[in-house]
Amino acid sequence: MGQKKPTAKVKQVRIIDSSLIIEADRLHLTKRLSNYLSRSRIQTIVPTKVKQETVDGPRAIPQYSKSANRIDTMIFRTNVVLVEAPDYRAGSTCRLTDRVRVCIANKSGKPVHLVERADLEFVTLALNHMDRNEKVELVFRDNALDTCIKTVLRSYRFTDKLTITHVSAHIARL
Amino acid sequence: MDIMSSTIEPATMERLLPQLHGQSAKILHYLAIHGKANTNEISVALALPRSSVYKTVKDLMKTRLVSTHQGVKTGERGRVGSEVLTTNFRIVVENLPGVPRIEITPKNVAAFDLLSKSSGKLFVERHGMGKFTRFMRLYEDYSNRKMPAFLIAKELDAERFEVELLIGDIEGLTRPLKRSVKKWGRRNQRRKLNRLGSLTAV
Repeated sequence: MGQKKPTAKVKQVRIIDSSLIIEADRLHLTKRLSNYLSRSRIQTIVPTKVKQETVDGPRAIPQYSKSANRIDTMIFRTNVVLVEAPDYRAGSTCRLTDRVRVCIANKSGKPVHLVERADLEFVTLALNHMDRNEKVELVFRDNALDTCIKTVLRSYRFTDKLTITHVSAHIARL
Repeated sequence: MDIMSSTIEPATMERLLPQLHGQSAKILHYLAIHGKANTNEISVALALPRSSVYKTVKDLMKTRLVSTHQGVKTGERGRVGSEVLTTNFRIVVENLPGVPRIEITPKNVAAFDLLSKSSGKLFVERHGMGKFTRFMRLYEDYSNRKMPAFLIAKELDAERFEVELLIGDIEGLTRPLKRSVKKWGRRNQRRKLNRLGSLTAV
């Protein structure tokens, strides 16, 4: 019997959209989300845009500042999530992000320039990690986005590295 | 529906509008998502007591917001309540102060119900009723898998946070109240234990 080849363990990351954080906060489950993410073995990453949407933006509005501070204290300052900026240097990544942008623009009947690359930061981030041969779990709620991501990434055979989970699945586990 | 094809009197409108909030809105939203369902299915899916679902459906049928699905009966005896229900209406309210036109359909009735919730009230407080009616229209596209939340926020010039709160509340409308079910369960268990306790004491 030959010796077993040592197999390199594939790293897995979870990239979350702002919808999970906002939904958890709305249901008063921010603390539980923080515990859930810290207990999880999978590293959770958020793009810079998500931090801006959940903390920096609403903090300026008096009605939402309390929520924003709570999210900042329990999610971002505890380092249960890693804030990462996407890398646009790779041409293939940008091409795929652009295809998702075009798909969304076509679906919604809006001009492509309205859907900016910055809106799809978490898709770009997912592509960055998949390029590094990591498995990615994307967590978000949008059905339109879900269809577009699946269509585009399936055509580039990326789906074996990608799992898409709906926000409600994680909320139910809290 | 024929009731909607003509202009109706304010008295009828007063009777109609409460039907678009609370438990009625929940049932209408559930029917809009699933196309058709019977009372028992609604009761199980929304974790609502069957008796209150029957009562609400009866009221909705009176105002003709819900009708029986033609030619289909699930119950063996074809009783009222085992009938398959469906909803299809369009209510247009015009010339309200600050809002030229609101269109309420089964697809956006849950969005209309937000007016009685804190997220909806805050949104109206910040952006006005005009933008809220635009959100109602855009939510139809969202539920039809045409538009993502970030585009809605852009279109309304609102924060993504606000839009996600509204969408979360709408989706929460048809989420069964798990906690209360558990609570009922625990309460029943406690009652049973108390009963057992009193029996043993005797």
